[in-house]
Amino acid sequence: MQPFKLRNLILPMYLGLVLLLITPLSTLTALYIILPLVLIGISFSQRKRNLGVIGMALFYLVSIPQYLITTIDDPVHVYLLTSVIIIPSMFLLYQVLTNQPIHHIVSEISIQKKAILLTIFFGVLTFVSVYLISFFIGDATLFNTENIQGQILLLAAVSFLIFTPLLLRKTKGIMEE
Amino acid sequence: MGRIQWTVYTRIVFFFAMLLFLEGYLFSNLTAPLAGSCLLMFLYFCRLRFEKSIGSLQIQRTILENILYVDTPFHVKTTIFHTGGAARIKVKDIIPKTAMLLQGENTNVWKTQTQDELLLSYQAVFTSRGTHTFESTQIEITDFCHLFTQKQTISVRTAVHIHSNPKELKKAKTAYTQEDVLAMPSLIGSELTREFEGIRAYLPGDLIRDIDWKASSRLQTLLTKTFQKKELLESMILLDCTRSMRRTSGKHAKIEHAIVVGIQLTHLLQSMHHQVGFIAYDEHKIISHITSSFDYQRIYRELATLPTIILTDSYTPNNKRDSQESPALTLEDDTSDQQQFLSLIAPFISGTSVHIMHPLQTSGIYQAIKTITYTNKQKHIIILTDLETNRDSYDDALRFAHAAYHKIWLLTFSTPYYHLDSKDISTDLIEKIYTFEISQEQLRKKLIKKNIEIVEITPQIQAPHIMEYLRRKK
Repeated sequence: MQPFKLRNLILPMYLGLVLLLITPLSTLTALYIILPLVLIGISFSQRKRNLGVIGMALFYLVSIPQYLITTIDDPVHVYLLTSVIIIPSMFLLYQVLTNQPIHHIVSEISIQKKAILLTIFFGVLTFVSVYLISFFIGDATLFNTENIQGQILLLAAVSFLIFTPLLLRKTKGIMEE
Repeated sequence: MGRIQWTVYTRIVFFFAMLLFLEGYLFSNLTAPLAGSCLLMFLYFCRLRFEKSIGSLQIQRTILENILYVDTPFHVKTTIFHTGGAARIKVKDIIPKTAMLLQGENTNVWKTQTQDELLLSYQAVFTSRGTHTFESTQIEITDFCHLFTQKQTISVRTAVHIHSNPKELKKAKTAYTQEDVLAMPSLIGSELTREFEGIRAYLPGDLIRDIDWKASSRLQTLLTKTFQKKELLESMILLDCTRSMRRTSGKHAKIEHAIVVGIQLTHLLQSMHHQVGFIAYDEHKIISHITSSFDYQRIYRELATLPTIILTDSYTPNNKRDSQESPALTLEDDTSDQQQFLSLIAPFISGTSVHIMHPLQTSGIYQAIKTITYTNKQKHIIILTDLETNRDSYDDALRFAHAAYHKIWLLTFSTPYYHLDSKDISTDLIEKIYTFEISQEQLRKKLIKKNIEIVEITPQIQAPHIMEYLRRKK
């Protein structure tokens, strides 16, 4: 079993940061967002899968609904939520269930170079697409602080760009071992 | 191939997905159903991945030792070739009930990659003799997320023959005395001529007529005349392997003790240049037949393949005679229809091609005696039995053997010594045992009249004790 390291907390920290940024902040909301992720973090360090599952359940039932979307008419919101929170949360669920940091799972599952290259390609593609979408939002300029959506999308794109190589670098390290 | 099952985590995730849909509906929030849909997609993805990772499994089990003995450890190596994808595989090698695990584990869990070879290695010991079979291996394949699992039992049969404890063999080699060797001719009897060979010191059991009185008075000590050997009798050991012999509730089993005594007697007789043969029989037929020879190993190997013990909870003496158990065996009421039916069916039951004249002839003991008598040569027959099954047949078969001038030793195993726990004794049981013992005694008396040597065996008795008993009886 792999020892617990701080880098195992990349995903919970990422999700916490993004959720805190995109939801209107109050003390209670922050608590709702942070508490499940803390539970998940503890489950990683203590190797308690059940605690992690409880944390994930709270995350889905309490944390995610803090970001309110009432209609599907706004596809940007839906796309944003799906790509920035829900899909990474699936990775987190995977990590909780396997009780292993995500880069270990990646190393065990896909040890082929083709898979690594494919992941990098999709990472870059996501970044480009999200970056371009942010330009199509009305009055969006990258440095316009009033346009929250544009900034969030940019953040999401950057997070994807950072996140993917982070995983892969670790994978490569393990493969070499 | 087993069915893919959901684990508790799958149920939890599915339940939360449903809960998220409900939450979205109640609070008019699209975020929750979106997360729910993604969860369901995640489950579907995991399921597809798991289906792909299940490949074919090939299992090979090897027993490292060539010859296995009771109470002697042996090593098992089970190799599992997995040709599927990455998965978590739990393997449990099912060991026979009579085997006990000593070292290592017969269960292990691996996280496998594609084309993996897994090795399960452990040490075990068998507590009883006979043919035992490793039946199957249980495989549980789970995906890395612990969401889906598939259980399957793969039949990998490995039959092993467990020989009796080698210590018993050593015991047989060391326990018999020179007196036993010298007394053997007089015990078995007719293999001597009356041609004078020499004189030796008197030993208990020597016939009075063989004492050389003149020489004894000269030297003031008893001396016995010895005679030239003409032909040594062939010995045949007949072992009863019926269910009553195999049944046991405690640590002593009649069949196991009978085998030990059989081994010891074989060794004893062969060391005195008697050819020894072996026949094992059950209720209806002969199950093993080895012709007389000096090859000790043949019998020893054959003993390992005999049926093993049957574990039961309690003991109830069988007070019924054959005729009471089966109305078809009643001597007086034989009709021509029954005769015809038996003559057709019995050869199939008893495995003989000869015509069956009477229902009693369908028993294993009768078939065994008939096989021995076939050669028309006088033999020394040692029967190891508990006289509980086919009792009328014993009477009949031994009468037949006696008529053919065979020398017979009947070693009877008294069941209460082996099969009775003092905690289970009740008045009713004691009464039953008493009735049973009386009927056994009647049968013994009947057999003694036919000049058959009967020795009652208890768990402590070994072959040298039997020899001593017979010598003293003489």
